[in-house]
Amino acid sequence: MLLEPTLFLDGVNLVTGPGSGSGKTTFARAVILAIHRAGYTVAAVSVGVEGMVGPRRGCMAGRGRGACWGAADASTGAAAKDSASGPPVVARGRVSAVAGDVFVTPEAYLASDLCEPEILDLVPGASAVGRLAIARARRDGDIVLAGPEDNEHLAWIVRRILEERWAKTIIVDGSLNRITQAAALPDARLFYAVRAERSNYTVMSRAMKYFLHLSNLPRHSNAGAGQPERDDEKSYRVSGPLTQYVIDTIPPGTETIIVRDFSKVFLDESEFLRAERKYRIEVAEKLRFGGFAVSLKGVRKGEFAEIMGADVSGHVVSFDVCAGGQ
Amino acid sequence: MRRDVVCSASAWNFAQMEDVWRHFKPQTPYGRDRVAEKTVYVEPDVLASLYDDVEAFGDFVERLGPDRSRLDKISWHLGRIPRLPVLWGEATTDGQRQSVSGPKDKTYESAVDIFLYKKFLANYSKLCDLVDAKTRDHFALEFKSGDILSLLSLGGSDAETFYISEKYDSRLLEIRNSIAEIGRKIEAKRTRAAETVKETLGIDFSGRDFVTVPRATGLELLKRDDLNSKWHLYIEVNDEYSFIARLVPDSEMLMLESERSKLYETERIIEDAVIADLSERLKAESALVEAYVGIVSRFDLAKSRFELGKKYNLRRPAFVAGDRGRGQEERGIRMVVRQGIFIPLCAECGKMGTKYTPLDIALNRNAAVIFGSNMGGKTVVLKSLLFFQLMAQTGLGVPAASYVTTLFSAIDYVGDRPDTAAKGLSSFGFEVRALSDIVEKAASRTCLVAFDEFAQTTSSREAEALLSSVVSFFSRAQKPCLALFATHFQGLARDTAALYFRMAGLDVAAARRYFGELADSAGAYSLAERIKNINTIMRYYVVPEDAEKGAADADGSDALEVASLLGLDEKILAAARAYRCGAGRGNR
Repeated sequence: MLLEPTLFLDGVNLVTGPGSGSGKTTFARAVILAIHRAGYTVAAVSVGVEGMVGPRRGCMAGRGRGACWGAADASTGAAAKDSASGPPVVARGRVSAVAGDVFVTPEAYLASDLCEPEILDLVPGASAVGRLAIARARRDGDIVLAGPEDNEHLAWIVRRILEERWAKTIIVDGSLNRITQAAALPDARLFYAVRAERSNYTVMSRAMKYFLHLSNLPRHSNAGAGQPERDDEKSYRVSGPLTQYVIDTIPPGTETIIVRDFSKVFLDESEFLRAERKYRIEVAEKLRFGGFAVSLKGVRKGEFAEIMGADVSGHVVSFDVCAGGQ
Repeated sequence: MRRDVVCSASAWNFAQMEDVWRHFKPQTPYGRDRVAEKTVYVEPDVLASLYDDVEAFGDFVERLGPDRSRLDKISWHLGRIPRLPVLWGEATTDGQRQSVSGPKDKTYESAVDIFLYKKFLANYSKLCDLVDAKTRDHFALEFKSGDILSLLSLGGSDAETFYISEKYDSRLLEIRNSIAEIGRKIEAKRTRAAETVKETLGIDFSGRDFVTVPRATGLELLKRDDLNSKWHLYIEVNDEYSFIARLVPDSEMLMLESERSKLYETERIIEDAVIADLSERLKAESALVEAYVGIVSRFDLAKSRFELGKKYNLRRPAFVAGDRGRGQEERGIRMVVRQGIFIPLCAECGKMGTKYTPLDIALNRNAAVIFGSNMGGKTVVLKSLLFFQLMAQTGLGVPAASYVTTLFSAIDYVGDRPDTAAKGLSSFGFEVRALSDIVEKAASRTCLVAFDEFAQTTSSREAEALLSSVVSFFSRAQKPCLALFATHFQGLARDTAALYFRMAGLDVAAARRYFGELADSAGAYSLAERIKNINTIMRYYVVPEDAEKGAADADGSDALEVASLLGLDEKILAAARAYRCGAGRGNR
């Protein structure tokens, strides 16, 4: 079943996940497909480059509207071979765009993008794969998605797309385990992709509970930027990441710790719970959590839902974006 | 001349130039390049041209009157000027294009390069339209590339964007129509196949390349022998609970895709030819474009200098000839500042709620010594003078009612430097080393040097001897120079060729009032309050050394009073006063 597109329309959506193979790219592409099938266009940015493609056109991957969201095997995360008219290339980065879609792509691959791209702007500086262009598809066709590795340039791209009104809906296929990107993007909805297997599903369910707990941390009442380190003797504002070292050096008498947002919490669950027993932990800014994107391997949906509990499973937007049969 | 050639990093830092420099914000990449270079100019004609540019921009703003919409548009277009790629020529070491008209070794550039040229030309032409005739004439802001811009505008849905339009080559229209037609056929076939599979087998692809189906469904499908031949379905195991179903293309679809691939290839060849042609056209325009880069950079810098000038009330300085005498060699140096404001300190005073005293001083000899007690402000005078000079020689203008000065080809600083720690030399060692370098420079260049508490780490007698000698040396330097000394050593030999000043120091009456209050309050003042009070009773202006003292002590030193104000133990202070009056002098 396809995703509900209204969950993602008119805003910035950041997809991240705890590790390689967590299904964030599969989910991001499923979101793009759902939006396309609802008749909307989208802007898509990846962090880094998703695989490589041949420099020449003519590969078999070119398909029209509503085609696949990538040649990768969703079950294994492995990249498929693409029969381009050059040397064999990995095509994991290919995404089907429709006319009007906006995307970020390396200059070197603009000419191999099949969508007749119109160059809208150039991202400042150069990435590991050369200059990055923001482009718009003038017809349906495959593209290579890319993007900068750092938050600053990612935020620049998103800001440009919104300011110029090139797109209303933006999907960012984010970095692994880099929730800090959410804080860099204006009012982004954060989706967290998790892959649960027989060997790790209890660990994963705990990680999801912890993530949800962090995302629900209360907002501090005096949360404006540029506040002093201490609002009063009982509260302590942490300007950077909240680490165990910071916890150990909190001034005596502190009752409330204020972190900028939950992405700045660099504590594992046990450290955090220990800190929470001693202090009330609040955030200056709330990040918008959109939900979990779960992909299951060797685990039944009901079984995983039960171990997660109703609270967490209520935040799952998809258990399998590839599900297509009864 | 670049900053590191004229002005040492230590002088730049001592003058706290970054406090202002970071607000100098041109909008174009070319303007930002100049800012990053931190150029300190020594050529009077170059500086005159910079100040003329700022005035020309200011006149333009004045002619615009209260309506700022045109200025907003100018800012908008300047902010969109991109850095042009190096085409047809070699990049110089500073990243600038040496020449865009040299021999080219590439057959064509990329679409991104063409895009950048289009974006540059589109915004540059708008800028030319937005300024009035006088400003256009002053900056030579003329746009003569209408033809190439019109050509580039054929490809793009707005003034800046770019794609390779069919208008560049009519064959593209036919090819793209064919690609679209094949795309429709492929899409129709895929949709039909997917719908049939959904209706018959219950598998919903919904545009996806593959889907997962429950294990039971997968096993049922595997029993069919027409899965591939009829339904073009491929089934494989996903995990113990599901299978993956994939639609594979039939032979007709493969044929269509193959045909489309060939069209893509042909399209690419034509597009490459279009880019090569556009690139050639741009090459013919290269001399003009190169000129545009210089003009827009100049205009951008004038605008940002003007804005900085408005922010800080900066004025154009007057440069005197120095040793560039007309016919007869001029040996003298002049530096006259009236109501000069050292912006970094003035801002700090504003934050602390204390009063800032502007600087008035006139220097017309090669060496000037400023005496003063601790916290008396003599170091600030040195900082201020270096700051004013750098503001003047970077073309920003000076925050003063008036500033007359000489152009210096070397600006340096000798004194405490945080960057000299742990390099194998003591502070004194570094000072002597720096002094030696400057002495060498002074033989061939017009130097401005600030010596802040030179030799303060050595014994006072030796320090005074050395300092007296250095003052004397610079007073009679081979080339005109200005050596400024701030010191608390009063025992310097006075050289008739040098100037001697002192900070006015404590306001005695106010200090006595404060001491009285202090006694009453029994030490209730915090350190911050004490510092603030010192600021209110200290007179931070420069007077000739022989001016009537009126300061707290006859020796001209306020150090003990300052120590008292800072809360030093009264017994220690009393003993110190006794020593100073002679009771403690002699061997112990």
